[in-house]
Amino acid sequence: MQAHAIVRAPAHHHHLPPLSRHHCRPVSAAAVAPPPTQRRVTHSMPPEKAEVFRSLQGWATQSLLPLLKPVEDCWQPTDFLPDSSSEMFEHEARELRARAAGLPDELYVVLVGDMVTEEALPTYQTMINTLDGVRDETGASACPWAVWTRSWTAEENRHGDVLNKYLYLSGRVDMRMVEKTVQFLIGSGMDPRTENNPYLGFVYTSFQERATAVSHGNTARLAKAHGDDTLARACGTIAADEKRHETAYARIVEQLLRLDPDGAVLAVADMMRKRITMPAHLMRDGRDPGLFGHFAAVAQRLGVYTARDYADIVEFLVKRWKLEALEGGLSGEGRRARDYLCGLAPRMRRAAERAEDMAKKDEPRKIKFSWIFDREVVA
Amino acid sequence: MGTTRRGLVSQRSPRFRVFCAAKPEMVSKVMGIVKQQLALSDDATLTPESKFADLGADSLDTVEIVMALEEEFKITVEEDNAQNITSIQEAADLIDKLVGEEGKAA
Repeated sequence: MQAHAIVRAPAHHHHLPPLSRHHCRPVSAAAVAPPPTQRRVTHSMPPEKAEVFRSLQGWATQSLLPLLKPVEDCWQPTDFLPDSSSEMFEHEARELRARAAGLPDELYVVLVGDMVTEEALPTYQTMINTLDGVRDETGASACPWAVWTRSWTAEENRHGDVLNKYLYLSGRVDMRMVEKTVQFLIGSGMDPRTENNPYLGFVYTSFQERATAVSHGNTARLAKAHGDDTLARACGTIAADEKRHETAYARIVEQLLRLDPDGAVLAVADMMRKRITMPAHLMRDGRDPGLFGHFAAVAQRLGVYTARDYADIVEFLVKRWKLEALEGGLSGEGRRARDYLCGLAPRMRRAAERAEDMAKKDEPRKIKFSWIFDREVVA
Repeated sequence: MGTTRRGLVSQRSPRFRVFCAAKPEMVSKVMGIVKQQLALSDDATLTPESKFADLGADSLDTVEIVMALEEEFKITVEEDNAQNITSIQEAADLIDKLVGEEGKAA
């Protein structure tokens, strides 16, 4: 049973014909959006609200940009990898492969899924640049919003790089299939239904950064448990970046709640109702039509990213943005949105628990992944 | 729970379903639960054919409606059945079926 019992999947998503004898779908947090509404909505922020973001430019320079790390102080993938310019390279590579041999296949499935997601970074930079009022108008705009987006992209770029090189050196995965998956995913893009609306967009990114921090934090923990401290440190470092990014995006929404509480709370409710789609929801490898769902199921079973995590993130954001105390300037609709949000996490948690209980009754099923040479893992 | 002891497989064609379907009291109970879940007013007009989605239910609401029905009627709804419940009539029919199976299994 699926924790997506919390959400329905549209046809093009991973919710595909079931493999188990009960025809039950796996639980996962791949909180996929409900069936798409008939018309695509674009530019849903009223044009006059772009002014809000113009007025926040000074704030962004003061409070957002400092959350970026100067490049000179940043970690680089090389810091976690064998030094190819050193005569110790081969020795270090052998050590890496020895550690890699101790990690179970299901952890590789999750690492590959995470790496593929990170490697689709062009899609995410694009997505942010679809947003009205904050897009990078030239590709090198000095506007603080644009500076943030480019620098954020630059920091994120290292995540896919380090995971890619690590997986390549490990010898444990079919890199060609992984690379194909990346190519497919970048070609597919993603549709988080943010409607060119930065209110929606920054709610999405706030949620997503936290989700990815949770996920990488868990893979770090698992890598360590299986004896690969270097990989654990790499994943943990990625998670730390994501937490810092989460802080940034949550601050933006906090400002929006201050300046336009009604518009902002409606935006938060809208994204939660639509559900936060996973960035790699259009993932495919040309072999498994249910790839994303299968990946999500493994992530659920390993505790890397679960339906409960989703509920926890909702709860965190409601607290972070002090929605329970949100009063002033709310329309009737805004109050209803606030109330919906304040009640949402416990409901999702209950539904997630129910889904997990039902899943326990199912026979575990074996799923093969092209990423690991068609070896099977249990999910 | 959810036993496999089934009665006769229904030969009824779909267009007869409405007439041979669950008793009015069952439909009425389901309507009450749905109204509560979706915070509809007591005098909101629902029909057996009313679809949850048309009443404003999202997928979380549907899960919760199923959970409330499970609690009320002491049944367990399998996930694949839960996915197929989209209207009041469908819910009532499924409950009838599951309660009937419980009775036979007892």
